[in-house]
Amino acid sequence: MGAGGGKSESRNTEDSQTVIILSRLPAKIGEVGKIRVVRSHSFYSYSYLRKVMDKVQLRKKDFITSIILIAFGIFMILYTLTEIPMKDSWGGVMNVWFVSPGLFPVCIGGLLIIMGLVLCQRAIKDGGAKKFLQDLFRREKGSSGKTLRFLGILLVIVAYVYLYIPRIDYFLSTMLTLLVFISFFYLNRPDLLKKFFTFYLAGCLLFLAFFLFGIDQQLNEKFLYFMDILVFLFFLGYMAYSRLLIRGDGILKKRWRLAILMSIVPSLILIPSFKFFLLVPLPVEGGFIELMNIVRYSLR
Amino acid sequence: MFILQQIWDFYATVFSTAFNIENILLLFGSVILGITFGALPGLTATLGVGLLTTLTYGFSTNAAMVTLLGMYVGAVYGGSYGSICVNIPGTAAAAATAMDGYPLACKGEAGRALGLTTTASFIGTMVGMFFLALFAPLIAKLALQFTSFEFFLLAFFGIMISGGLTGQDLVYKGWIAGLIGLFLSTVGRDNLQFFPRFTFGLPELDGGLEVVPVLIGAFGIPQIIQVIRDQLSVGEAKKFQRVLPEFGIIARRIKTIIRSALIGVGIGSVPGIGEDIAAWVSYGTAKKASKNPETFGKGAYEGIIASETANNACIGGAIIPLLTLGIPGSPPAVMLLGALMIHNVTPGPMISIENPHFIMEMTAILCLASVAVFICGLLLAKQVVKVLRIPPPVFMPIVLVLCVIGSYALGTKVFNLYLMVPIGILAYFMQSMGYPIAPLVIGVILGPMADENLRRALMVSQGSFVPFFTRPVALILLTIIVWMFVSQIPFFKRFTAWLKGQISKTKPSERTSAS
Repeated sequence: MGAGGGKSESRNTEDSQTVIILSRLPAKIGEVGKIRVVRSHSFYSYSYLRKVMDKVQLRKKDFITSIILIAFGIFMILYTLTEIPMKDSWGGVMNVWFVSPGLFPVCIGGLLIIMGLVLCQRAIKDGGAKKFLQDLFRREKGSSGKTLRFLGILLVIVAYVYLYIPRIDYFLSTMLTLLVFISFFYLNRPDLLKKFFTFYLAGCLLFLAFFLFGIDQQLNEKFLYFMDILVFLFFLGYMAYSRLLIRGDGILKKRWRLAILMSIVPSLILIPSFKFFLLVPLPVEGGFIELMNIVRYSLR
Repeated sequence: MFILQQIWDFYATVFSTAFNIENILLLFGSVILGITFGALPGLTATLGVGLLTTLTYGFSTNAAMVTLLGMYVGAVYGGSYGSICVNIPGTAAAAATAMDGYPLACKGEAGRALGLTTTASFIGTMVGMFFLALFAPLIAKLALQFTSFEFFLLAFFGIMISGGLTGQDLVYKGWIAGLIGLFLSTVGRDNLQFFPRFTFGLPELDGGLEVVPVLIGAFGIPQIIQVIRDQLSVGEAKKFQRVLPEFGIIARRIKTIIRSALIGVGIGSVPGIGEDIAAWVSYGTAKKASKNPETFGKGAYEGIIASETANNACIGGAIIPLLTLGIPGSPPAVMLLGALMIHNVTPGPMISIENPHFIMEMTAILCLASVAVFICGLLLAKQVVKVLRIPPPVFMPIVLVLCVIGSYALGTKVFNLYLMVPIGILAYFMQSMGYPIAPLVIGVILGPMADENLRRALMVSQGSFVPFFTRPVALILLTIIVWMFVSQIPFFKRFTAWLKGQISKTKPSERTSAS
């Protein structure tokens, strides 16, 4: 691997190449003054990391990771030795250590501990441990914009998978997730993101409370598809709320319309094709999917 | 006779596939989808193959492979669109193409650059295919003599080398990722005695972690988070008129082509190391070998030819160990392995006995896929470049939905989704700390193989480790593994540096000529 880019001499050739790609990003992006890079694969991440996070910071994280790894390795070995028979009989077969199901986990646990120790040693050598102890008593100031973006993505994914999919009509939960996800980031304004985030979080917490206390089941028993209707109202409410916030901004209005379109059309294409062509039973088939069933079977 | 049989199989598959209208539609559809997937920054070949896997489980094995290989070849090729037109590689495999592709586009030669990548990709895939046809049956025959000792070491070797070569920050971070993958593979009932391990009493975990949701989670979720979080924005795409095959330029650089294709096949066949590394190594080598290396980075034709030939040749290379040993050669091949398992084809040395025609069928499909990519590349490049205008915040959410429904659809278990999300988030954090993801998934895939074979081997030898040293192939593998391990120890590094210093002191003339 002997290719630098000609512009910079660096010991690590991959890095110099990547750095040059970064430096050749279109001028427009440079003007904004933000580093915008595709990390389409882990291949970039190290040079990217070096730009964003200095080495000591990385080693600090390594230090924490190494401790987690060692602890996890110890856990694996302890679990294996206590829970998995190494020599006893299991299912009528007398066991010896080298056929025991515990042999492999013990090996992995041991290797994890060794690797953790090696990483720990490196982290201490490079000052990561020191940094960790320094920062322990000081609150860190991260870039709140990025953190909020990250939390936004996390909220969308977690709410989709753990909250809506197991309980709400699959079509509806997908549509809601798409709308929220696209509007969060496509409208691309930090102040709007904050407001959307709060609104969506509030809705999710409300539904979580419903689910935790079993209110949803009582409501559904009294009135068919009640929760689906409630979530659909939330969907409409989110739509109206976001429309209200962007009033008077032509570009955002256009993007808002696209966000709605892109939340409905892909759901309408994907879900019926899984349901009716691939014959996959969906997690929860509520009101909307029942509606699709009616349409589908009346067409036949 | 054996060779004639192979050639017959090859042509039989080519014609039976080519004259089947359904297969042809699938082929072209998946190739176009693949090119689009590759061109869009943030969507990789791995993710594409993974998502399509879930769609193809109702197909026949042949049709499924047509779709998946079309996707694979298309996506690896499609990455160059982003590299050339907007200087943002669509896939990591095309990152090296951006080095010279974008300067060419700036000079107004985007059409020519795309023509070159199309032709180079075609030739690369064809060379990869040739090696697949040539070596896969041989290796499968050789591997029939492997016993549990060799298979354990081979699995372990795969994880070690994948970790060692993909770790960007520290080599052992790759190994740590591999070990975490191995741990994940031990969850569930073990295959020899059906004893539940790490299930914590959850009946859903008894069957172990399902491979496809783990793969989609580990590759898909980090991708979504990164692209959205880092606010990727794509500039205006460079304009171009026509895309022509550019055989003239290619013919004059035949040496680069051959060298790059060989590098691609070689790197592809090493477990777990994919197209991206093949492209960079080939690019670096082409630059070193070039008479005027200063033109590299400013729009040298050799640059894009080298990287594109290598990353496509890598595909054929990656399929060799996949089919013959059951060890995937690249991240998208990991997905292919998952797909093969769904279709009840068990890759490994037994493949030439259980499915005697399968290797040649794959070769034939690869050949058709590369032809389809060539045709689509020449005809549709202009249309596909338009997808670069779609902003990532609009398509990444749809990718999320695809990941979710894809992970769910295979087992129709919501529990798979509960697993996919934490694994994805874990993979994201690992990646952001410099851990590569490929060894993790290789670990998940090869874990059962390593576990079972280690215990089976020890059962045969009654707990004795001696056969590891007395069996020749085992000894070679063991030596390589130990060497990889030891070479990372600081003391050993200092020792070798000292040794090199001693050697260079004695032969100063040689050192100067070597550098």
